[in-house]
Amino acid sequence: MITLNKLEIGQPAVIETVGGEGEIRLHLLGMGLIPGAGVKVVDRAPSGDPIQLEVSGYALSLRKADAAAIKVRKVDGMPEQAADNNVGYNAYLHDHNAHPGLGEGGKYHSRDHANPLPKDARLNLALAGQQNCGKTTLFNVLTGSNQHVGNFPGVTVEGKEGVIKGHPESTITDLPGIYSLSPHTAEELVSREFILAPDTRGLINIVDAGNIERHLYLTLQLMELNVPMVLALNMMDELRGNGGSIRINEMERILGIPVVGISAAGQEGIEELVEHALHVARYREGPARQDFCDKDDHGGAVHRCLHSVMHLIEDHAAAAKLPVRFAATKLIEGDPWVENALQLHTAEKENIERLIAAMEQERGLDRAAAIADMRYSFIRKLCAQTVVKPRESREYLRSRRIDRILTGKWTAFPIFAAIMALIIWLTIDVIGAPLQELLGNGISALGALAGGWMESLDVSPAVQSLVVDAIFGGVGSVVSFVPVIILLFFFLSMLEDSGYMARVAYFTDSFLRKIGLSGRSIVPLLIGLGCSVPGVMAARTLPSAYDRRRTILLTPFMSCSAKLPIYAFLSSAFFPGHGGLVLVCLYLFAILAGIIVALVGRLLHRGNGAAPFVLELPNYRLPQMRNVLHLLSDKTVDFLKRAFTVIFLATLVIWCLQTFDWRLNMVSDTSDSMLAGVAGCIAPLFTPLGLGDWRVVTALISGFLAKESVVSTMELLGVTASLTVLTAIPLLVFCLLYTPCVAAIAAVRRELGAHWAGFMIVFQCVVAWVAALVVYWIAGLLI
Amino acid sequence: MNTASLVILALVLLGAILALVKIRTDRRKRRSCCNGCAMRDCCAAERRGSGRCP
Repeated sequence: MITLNKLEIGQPAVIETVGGEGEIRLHLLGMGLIPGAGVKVVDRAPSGDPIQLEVSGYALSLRKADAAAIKVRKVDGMPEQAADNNVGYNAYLHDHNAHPGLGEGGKYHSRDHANPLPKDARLNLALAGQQNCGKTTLFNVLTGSNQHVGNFPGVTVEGKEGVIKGHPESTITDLPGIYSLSPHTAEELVSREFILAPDTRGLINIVDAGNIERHLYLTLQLMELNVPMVLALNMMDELRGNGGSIRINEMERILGIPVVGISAAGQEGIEELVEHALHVARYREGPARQDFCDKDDHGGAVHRCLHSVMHLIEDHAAAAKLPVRFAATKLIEGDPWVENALQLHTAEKENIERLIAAMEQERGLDRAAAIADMRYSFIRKLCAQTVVKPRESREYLRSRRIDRILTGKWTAFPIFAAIMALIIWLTIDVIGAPLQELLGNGISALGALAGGWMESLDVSPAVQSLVVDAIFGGVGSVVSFVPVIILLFFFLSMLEDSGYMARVAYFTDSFLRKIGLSGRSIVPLLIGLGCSVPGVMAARTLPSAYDRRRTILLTPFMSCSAKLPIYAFLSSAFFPGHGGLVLVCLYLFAILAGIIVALVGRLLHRGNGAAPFVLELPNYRLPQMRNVLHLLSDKTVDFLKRAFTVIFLATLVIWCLQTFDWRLNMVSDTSDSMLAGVAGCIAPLFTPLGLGDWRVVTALISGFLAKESVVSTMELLGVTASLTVLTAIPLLVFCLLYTPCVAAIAAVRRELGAHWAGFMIVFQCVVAWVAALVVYWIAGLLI
Repeated sequence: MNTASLVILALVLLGAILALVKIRTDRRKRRSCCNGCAMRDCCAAERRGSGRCP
């Protein structure tokens, strides 16, 4: 017996034990890594960590440290799961849960037995499923909505609500992807609370028909919640294309819930799904089966334990308004939330512990593994009777072939660097710059036109300045960045939609973990190269609050594209002919500073909130242009909305400070303005950096509004005349690292709260000041 | 200050007020009951008054 991390590539093995504890262990069990399951290492990241596994026909990446907790036994071939066929027929279920087919609504509901909701009752449905199974695609089809769909697990980070097309009485909520109902993550806890809420009338559980065994693990837990539900088998077209099939009627009969085969992307079976979902919700048809344990399985240890616990807690579960089967299973798994909700007496807790201990001894597995095994045993038996397995899917084989190059030991990082360089080059130079210039010129022309028109109307100079300088100059300069932002998002969403982002997270995890981040952090950090605002927002896909916070705080170290004009301006003035070198040095310096800060942060606060890196690697797919275009329109609207709210207001404030003196008289020389007064107070702080001129400070203050305005302010105030090569260097470094713009700070505030946003302003300024001072000293010695 | 100046100034101020209202409305919508929780915009359960934020 060896540990999984030491298994050779391609060697099949059977899992003997799953060690470890807490969240990671429950997560591994939930992902199908249970004792008895077949597993194979199919690849390793270039640095050897994490490793890529094949479990139940899908690819999963896992860190070596986590894999070391799993003991496996080598075997000659991947084991076929033996399954007896005794879960299938249940005459009672069949006779009492006959569900009307399509067009047969009401057939089985005589007036004596039906218990429908009042006709005017609102039908609130929840859409639940594991990550990357097509929930958001289905949500969009059901509601006609345009939510972003990605080929990266965890795209849905907000619960979205919508009305099902043609059914105004219904509401459907797209819940985040979850692997189980155990409280590993906030999403899982929130999702189950949402489903259990009294006004949630029904549930659509969407599963990937091609990976049905793992997806049914969540289904069984959802059924235990005793909420009316429908099972939607998504991607049936792909399954059929690969020679597979599912006996839907048989599965429906065994599970006791309506089962509908659909293709969300192909819009197949949607009408039938909606009809079933509304029917079960309206007639309050809960799942007819919630008992998945088998009295003949390993002597029935789990079965007897579960039913004993159910009897013991029946009254507590009723008082806590929790389904008793769900409460008993979660109690055995050790769910603290359920334990608190049940308010058990000490004696009852002791009794339950004794029952569990006896079960563990008899079954030979610990509590969590025993429950996971019970569920997977049922699933295997169910699939043995109802699923004609497809041959290894074309999509999977194609992905494996592509991965040999894109995640290969020697090719992964060079290809990644080349792709990113190409994206930045295309975004900023080839396509973005001309478009930005065009838009900028258009806005300037409009400003000039408005200025001329106001001049002809003899409008007061102050009002003219307000419109031309503040609105067209300030807001307009930010709006002119729309093409760059759109292009960057276009390329990044293409990468995400194709499934490549998940691979990047996979092969950079090893490096990022050393500085206290997760592989998933790479996505927000890369987006931060374009603009910190979407970079900060993209951190939502990180599963733990700890990783999310660290990633957001490090995003400003990825120099955003709005700072490029500053570098270009100062380089051309002080380092003519060496602009490219200056740019590369600055980017590398920022990344180095970020790494140092991350390492220091890790030493100061080691935190235990880092989430385990268990990432499903989706098959490569061709990006759907419809999705990409939806994302682009969303981002554009979002960006413009911000430009005309936060940035507009901030521009007005800066303009007032810049245009008037303390007695509110309009100034002819900016050095008399309130802004100059404020900047003059702060200027001494910059004297050690050689930047004690109030005009430099004013330019830096204006950069808080938008980085682009640093250049315009410097030009307006004639800053370059007061600078030398020696002082330009610390100024470049300070601009590189100091506080992000107000839009980015607003995004941080939204994601982490006001105190973290405030912390970021101060922290970035301190880091920038220290770095600029060090660089100034070094430059002083060399020049 | 002539009428044209006053009208333009009034329009800019109106825009500023609308921007402020929009910012406040958005903020209220996503009242941060669930800082640190991945379901942004205030978790749906909390918003519907049927659950609590973890």
